[in-house]
Amino acid sequence: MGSGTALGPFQQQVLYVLLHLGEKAYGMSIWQELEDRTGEAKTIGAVYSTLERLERRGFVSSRMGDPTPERGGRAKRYYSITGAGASALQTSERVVRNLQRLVPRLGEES
Amino acid sequence: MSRQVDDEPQGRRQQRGRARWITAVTAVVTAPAVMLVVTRNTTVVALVMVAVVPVAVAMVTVANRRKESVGRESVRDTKRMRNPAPPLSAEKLLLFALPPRISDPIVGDLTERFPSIQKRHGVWFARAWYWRHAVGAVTRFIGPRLAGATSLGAVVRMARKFLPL
Repeated sequence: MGSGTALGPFQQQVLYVLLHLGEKAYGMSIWQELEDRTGEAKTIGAVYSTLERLERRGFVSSRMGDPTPERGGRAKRYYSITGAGASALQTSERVVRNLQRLVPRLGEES
Repeated sequence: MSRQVDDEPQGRRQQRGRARWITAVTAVVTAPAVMLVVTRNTTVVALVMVAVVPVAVAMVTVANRRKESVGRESVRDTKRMRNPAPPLSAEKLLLFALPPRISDPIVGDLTERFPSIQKRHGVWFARAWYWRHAVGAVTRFIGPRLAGATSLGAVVRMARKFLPL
């Protein structure tokens, strides 16, 4: 695996959430899902900076929605995972599985 | 005391407000220049700036609002409780510090979530929550750029060449 497809733990989490949310994935929904699932209190800035980085690498694409009054007339930016992003996620999953085979399962050592 | 401030003409009050802003901007510009001369470390100065600017903006805004509201607190507070809005200074900070591509969706997201946080935890918690996210976003996007400080570093190097520092 080259460093071009290497993903950090938080980047992986964000990509999984994008896959889970599908078309309705935008900043706040991604943040909420991450907080609910991981229990970690990240800021919205952390989510957006990760999404920006992933977009620059071609793993994520974005489009603007329509402005709504409850958002003070500001539009949502919807994010979705690209083919390259999905294959980078598969690659990092495979790497983790290969590494896990090297050691006995946690809690099973006598 | 409150009577005096209340009787103060509107133009005079605005003048005082402007003077407060000018003082804050002067302090925010002068302090890093002095720190640069003393520490000669652009990263430290940049990090201090990131922390100090929002605090200065918040202090002046609060001072100006307090002066405006003397004698009318109860009416203003009731209004604020009934229709709480996200902190304007934090919103301005985001719009000023981040590129529009990112600042617009972030401000929209926080504005959208603000009422539900306020309903569950109260106005002050919601405001603190908004500020936490605003400062977090600004440090996330601006911090690394300032820490790199390529252009700022170049300016300082050039200044050192020409000035007897």
